[in-house]
Amino acid sequence: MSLLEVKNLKKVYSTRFGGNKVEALKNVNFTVEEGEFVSIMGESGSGKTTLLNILAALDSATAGSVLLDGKDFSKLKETEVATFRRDNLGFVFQEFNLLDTFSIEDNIYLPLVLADRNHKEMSEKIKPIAQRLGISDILKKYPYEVSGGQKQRAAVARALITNPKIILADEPTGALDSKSSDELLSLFKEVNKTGQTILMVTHSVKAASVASRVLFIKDGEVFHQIYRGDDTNEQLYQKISDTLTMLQTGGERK
Amino acid sequence: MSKVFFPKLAKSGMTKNYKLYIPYLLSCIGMIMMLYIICALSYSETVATMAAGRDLAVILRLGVGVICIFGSIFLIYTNSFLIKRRYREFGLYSILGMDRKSIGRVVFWESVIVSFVSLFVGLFLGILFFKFAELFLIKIVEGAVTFSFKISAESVLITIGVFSVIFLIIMLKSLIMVGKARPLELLRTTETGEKPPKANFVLAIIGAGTLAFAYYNAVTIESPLAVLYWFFLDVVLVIIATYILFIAGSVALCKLLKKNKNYYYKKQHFVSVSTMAYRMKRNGAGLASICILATMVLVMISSSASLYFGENYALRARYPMDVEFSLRFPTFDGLLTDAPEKIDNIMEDIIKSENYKPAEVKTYKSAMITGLLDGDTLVPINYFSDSMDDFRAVYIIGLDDYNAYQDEKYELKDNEIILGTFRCNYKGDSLNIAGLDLKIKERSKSFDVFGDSVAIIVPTFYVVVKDLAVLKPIGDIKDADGANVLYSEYYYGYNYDERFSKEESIEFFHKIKDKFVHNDYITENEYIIRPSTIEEERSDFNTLYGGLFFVGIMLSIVFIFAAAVIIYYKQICEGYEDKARFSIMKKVGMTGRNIKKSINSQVLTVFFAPLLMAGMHLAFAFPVVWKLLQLFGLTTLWVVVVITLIAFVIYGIFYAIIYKGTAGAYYNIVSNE
Repeated sequence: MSLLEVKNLKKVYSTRFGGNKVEALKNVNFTVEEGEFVSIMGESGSGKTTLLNILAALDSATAGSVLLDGKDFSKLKETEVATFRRDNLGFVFQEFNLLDTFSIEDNIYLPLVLADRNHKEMSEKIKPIAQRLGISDILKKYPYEVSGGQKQRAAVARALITNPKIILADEPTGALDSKSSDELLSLFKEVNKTGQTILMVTHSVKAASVASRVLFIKDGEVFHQIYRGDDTNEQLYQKISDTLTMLQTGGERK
Repeated sequence: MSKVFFPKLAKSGMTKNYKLYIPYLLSCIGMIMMLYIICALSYSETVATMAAGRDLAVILRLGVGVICIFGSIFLIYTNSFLIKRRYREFGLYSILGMDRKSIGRVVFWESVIVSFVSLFVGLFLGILFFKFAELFLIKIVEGAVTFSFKISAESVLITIGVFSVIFLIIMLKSLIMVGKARPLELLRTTETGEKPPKANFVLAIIGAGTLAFAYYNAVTIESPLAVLYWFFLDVVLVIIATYILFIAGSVALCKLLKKNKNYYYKKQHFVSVSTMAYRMKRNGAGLASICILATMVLVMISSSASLYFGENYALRARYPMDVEFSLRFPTFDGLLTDAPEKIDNIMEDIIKSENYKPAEVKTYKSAMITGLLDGDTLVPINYFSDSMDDFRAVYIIGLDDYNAYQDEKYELKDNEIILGTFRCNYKGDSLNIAGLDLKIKERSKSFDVFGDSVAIIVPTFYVVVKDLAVLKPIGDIKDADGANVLYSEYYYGYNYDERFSKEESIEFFHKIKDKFVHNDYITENEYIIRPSTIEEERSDFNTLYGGLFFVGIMLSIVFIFAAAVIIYYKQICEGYEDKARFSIMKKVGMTGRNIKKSINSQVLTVFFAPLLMAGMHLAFAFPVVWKLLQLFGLTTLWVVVVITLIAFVIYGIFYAIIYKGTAGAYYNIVSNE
């Protein structure tokens, strides 16, 4: 059984009075195995953000199902969704989404506090994660005092601290300079090596080329996918950009 | 650019920001309306023709002054808040190519529109509601209703004049604010991260210390006169302490809570404690203002209502009998002459000849001596100055007269006395009055005699001696300067014959009074005769206390409205700040219910802290207020306590309504995706 199964997912947005209907997702099908690092690529408007929102249980699908560990969370009640999300999913956002009123440490603790863990357990958990992400010495600082790269690493730490089944990352390098992007990507790779499943939405070829598999979405459907196989990052990069060129010039499905 | 461009831009800027501008416009209109109404009342003929109408006009003008000062501070504060909220918009204008001068013109036109609209509407509503206010005032002071309807031209002019100045100041301030701001900074103002507030423990402790000192002072002041001096200082100290505590103290408290890890890292506390620390730094001043406003309203309304509703008791304390005649002799010997009997005879003659029979007659002889209390000895002194904390007026009555008057059955030996105190305490068990050594046998609370003592403002002893004759040795005692300190008095009081109406009773009183004045057979001794009737005094009391109560109510309405506007702006401002924060927390795994709970606890704490603090201020101010009211002749503590509690409850209800209304605005902003 796959860790994440997405079946016939469909999402239709309608305007307020039901006039215009926009089909953001037509029919999306894919699976993610445990320990995989999957990138989802697509142009803006292709539906990748909608897809991620549905996977994150922030939005609900019009039709189809999403199964995490065999459990269909579109059937959960609203009160259960938040708990489910907290216990099973970790998030990394483009804009970091750190709270400016909390220190870095408290930001990382936030999901654990919401899950009613005690402070001793939290402080034990944070140590190895902070060390691995290289943020041990900025834990006491506030978001406005640290760099973008450090903020994003703090956000990764916040995602990791609950031991989620899967990490969902939405354009994690979008707001970073190239050096910080590289650092973050190699960090993702490392984290993935320890067995952590990651699903990342991006339109950066560089970011996508770190993954073990790349899915392409176009017009609300999974259009194509590339497995890394034994390719190096550079080889995968080449394959991805070829695919994108083909997508943009309107090539047919292989 | 066409001439109408700037006015148009100004108008659309305000309509787009209606959430911000409507409360501001309403505040302006409300202030103008109130100013006109109270001002017009002070000039109204209805007031001028009332008993003590001139004093009432003075009280009303005092209210006008308060509204002018408070209104200008409040509107300037509110407006600068509005301008700050709109920095972004102005920044956008300047990026779109508007120079600072043009933005200034937009601001100018906005001020002009607000001024004209609010003056026009405010005056219109003021003129419209004037009659209601007048009828309300007449009802309160129990005056005669008139049905004339007049627009007071001088009040219209005063209102326009005052508010033109206020609006001009506001406009200049806005122009300066906009002129100083840099366009790009204008755009970014709300986005820059902010330092976490540093807890200033020293300042917090100073605040708590100041408050404790002021409280201690308020509670421990003994003499009502000292209160007059200390009250003002205490008020200033409490205001300073409130600001310090809300700004620094609350941040320090949050920091302390954060240090307690097992408390802080709990779902219920985690978010609220950390956001509150931030919030207090910026909004502490607003909360402190709300607290001060609340305290002002509560003290003002509870004391003026106490005077108004306690008026009957105060009046009765001052005039125990419906009609009183007293003969005052400059020495003790006057009592030994036949003057007292002559009064009795005159009264009896009149009562017989007019066939007017009082319901009850009470007479007594008494003496009064003034001096400085030194330990258990009263050292005679003839004059009084405000700084004399030890000054005492001592009223002395014989046992038989006292027992008869109060309907008691006390017994005393020669050197024994019964002691009562008013506006002070006395702990000793003996008292030496100018060399007379007296032993205190009993203490009594019932001294309805000596209405005079209520009218003068000094601490007072009531003393019952076996026989007034014991005072003979000190009968013409002088103080160190050789001035008389003891005088004696014969009191004749009666209650109205119930068969007659009030008007008829007053008529009888005047007949009797005239007889006294024209009667020449009580002129041989040197004395003063003082006639009074409670009904004639009542209308003066009514007008004065009713007028104070009326102004108290009007000002309370203004202050409550101002508090509501401050709270509303605070909620809106926090709503926009919290919106982003809560959407992040939602993404990280907070449920809608968690968020609601957290918002609730936060909003409740922030909201009701000022009310609780105001309640505390009120409780500690109570002893002071009570002493001040005693100076006004109020003697019934329970009336004041009950009225203060009622005032607090009513204010609490208003406050809760404001909370409900503004919290709604907050939720709307936060939950609006």
